[in-house]
Amino acid sequence: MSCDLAKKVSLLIDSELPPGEARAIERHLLECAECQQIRADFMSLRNGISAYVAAPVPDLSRQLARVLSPQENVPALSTWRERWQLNFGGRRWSPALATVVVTLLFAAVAFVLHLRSQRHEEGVHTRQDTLVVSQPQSRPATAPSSDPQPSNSGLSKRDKPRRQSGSKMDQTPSNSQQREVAAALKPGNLPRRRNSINTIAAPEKNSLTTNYVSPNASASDENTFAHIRSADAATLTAQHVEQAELLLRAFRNLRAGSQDARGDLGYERRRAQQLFYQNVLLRREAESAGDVEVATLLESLEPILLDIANLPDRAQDMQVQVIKGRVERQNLVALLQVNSTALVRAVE
Amino acid sequence: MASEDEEFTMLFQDFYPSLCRFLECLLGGRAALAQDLAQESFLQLHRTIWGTLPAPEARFWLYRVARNLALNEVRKGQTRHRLLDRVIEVMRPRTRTPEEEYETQERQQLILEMLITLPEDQRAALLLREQEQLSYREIGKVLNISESKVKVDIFRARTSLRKHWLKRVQSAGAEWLSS
Repeated sequence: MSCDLAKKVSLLIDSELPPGEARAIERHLLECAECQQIRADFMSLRNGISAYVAAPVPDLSRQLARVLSPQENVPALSTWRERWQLNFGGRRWSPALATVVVTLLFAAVAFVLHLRSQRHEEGVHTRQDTLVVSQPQSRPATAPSSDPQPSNSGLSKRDKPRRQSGSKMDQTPSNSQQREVAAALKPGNLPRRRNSINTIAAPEKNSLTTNYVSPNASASDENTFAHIRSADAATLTAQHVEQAELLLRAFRNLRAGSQDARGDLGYERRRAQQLFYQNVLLRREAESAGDVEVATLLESLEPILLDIANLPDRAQDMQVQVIKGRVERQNLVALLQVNSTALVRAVE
Repeated sequence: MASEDEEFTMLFQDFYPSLCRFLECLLGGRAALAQDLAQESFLQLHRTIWGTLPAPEARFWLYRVARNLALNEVRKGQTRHRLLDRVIEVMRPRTRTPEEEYETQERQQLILEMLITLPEDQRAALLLREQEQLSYREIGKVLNISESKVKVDIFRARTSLRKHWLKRVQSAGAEWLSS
C-alpha cells in the first residue's frame, strides 16, 4: 500500500475516528483510488466474516438445561486434562511430577507384594538358588573377616568369614576389601547382632547381623544359611533404607554457609561412606536374589552416597547444593521413606 | 423483574449462537468443539459470577472466557494442520439449491482458511469487531488488552487477510467476495 492512510480507513469503517478526522478521511477517499479500493476490500472481508454461518446448535433448550441443572453441571469439555485445568484454575502440573508420584506408589505396592510372595515361598521351600552365601565366587564383600573376636560379634563358629583369594570386587571380594567393609560396618551405631544364628527366625529390629557374609559354612548348612540370609537381607535392607533416608534428610537440611556446616558435613561424609559400602553389598544381594525393585532403589541411592562421602573437607556451598538438587530431583527422600515403610512391614 | 434464571436464559438464547459462531471461526471451523466451549463458558458464568455481574458485562465476560478456552485449543493445534477436516465439520443441512450451497461452503471455507493464517490475537480482535460489532474499548475489555493494541491488531488482520484474498482472487479469478 503506497498510501499511509490505510490505517485511518480501517478506523473509519469501525467508526473509531473522531468526527473531524472522519470527515477529513472521507474527503481523502473521494480523491484517492487506492484508499477507495482498500475500504472496499475491508468491507468485503467484513461481509464475508459476518456472513459466516455457524453449525446449527442442536436442541438449544436441552443445552441450557445442562447449564442450569445442578445435577447435570458436568463440564462440557471432553478431555480430562481440560476439566483438570478448569477446576484447578489453570495451574499447570508437571506431567513428569505426576509420573514420578504414580511410579513411586506403584513401585511401593509392587515391592510389598513381591516381598510377601517371597516370604511365603521361603516358608515352604528351602532356597536352592545361587545365593552369594553358597557361592564362594559371588559373595558380597561384607565379611567381617578381620574380626579378631568372632564370639563378640555374636557369631558362631560357622559364621566366621571365609578367607577369599583375590578376585574381582563384584564377585569375590578380596581380604583387604572385606576388611575395609568390615571396618566401615563397625561403628557403634550399627550394633552387631548378638543372637546366635540358630535363633535367627526372629531377628532383632535394630541389629545388624554380621553373618550376612558367608562364614565358614559347610555344605550342609547352605540351606539353613540361605533361609537365614534372606530374612537378614530383608532386615538389613530395611534398616539401611531407613538410615539412608535419615542421612539424606539431614544432608538436605544443611544450611548453606553455616559456621557449623563443615563439622556437620564431616559427620554426613562419614555416615555416607558407611552407608555406601552397605549399599553396594545390599544392592548386589538384591540383584543376585532377583529383587529388581530393591536393586533399583539401591542403585539410585548409591551415587548420591558416594558423592556425599567424597565431598572434600572444605566443601563449597555449590557442591553441597548440587547434591541436594539431585536428591530433590529424584525425590529420593520420599522414595526411601515409602520403601522403608514397606520393607519394615514386610519384615514384621 | 425477571428472576436470575430467566435473565440467564435470555442471555443464553441471545448470545449462545453468536458465541458458537465466534468460537467456530476462532477454531478454524471446529463446530463441535466450539459448542462445547461455548457451553463451558456459560457454565462457568452460571457457577461463578452470575448474579454479581450486570448483564452487559456478562457478555464481555463470556467472550473473554470463551476466547481463553479456545486459546488453549489453538495452542494445542498449532502443529496440526487439519483445516480440511475442520472444513468438513462445517457441512450444513441442505436448505438451498446445490449451487447455492456449494457457493456458501466455498465462501465459508475460504474465510476459515484465511482466518486461520492470522495470529490468534488478531483473529480474536477481528472476529469480535466484525461478527459481534463490539467497539474497540469493549474488545479491549474482553481480550484484556489496550485500545491501541486493538486498533493495531484489527488493522494488521485486515491487511493480512486482504493480501491473502487478493492472491486467491488473482489466481482463481473469483469475484464473488466483492458482491
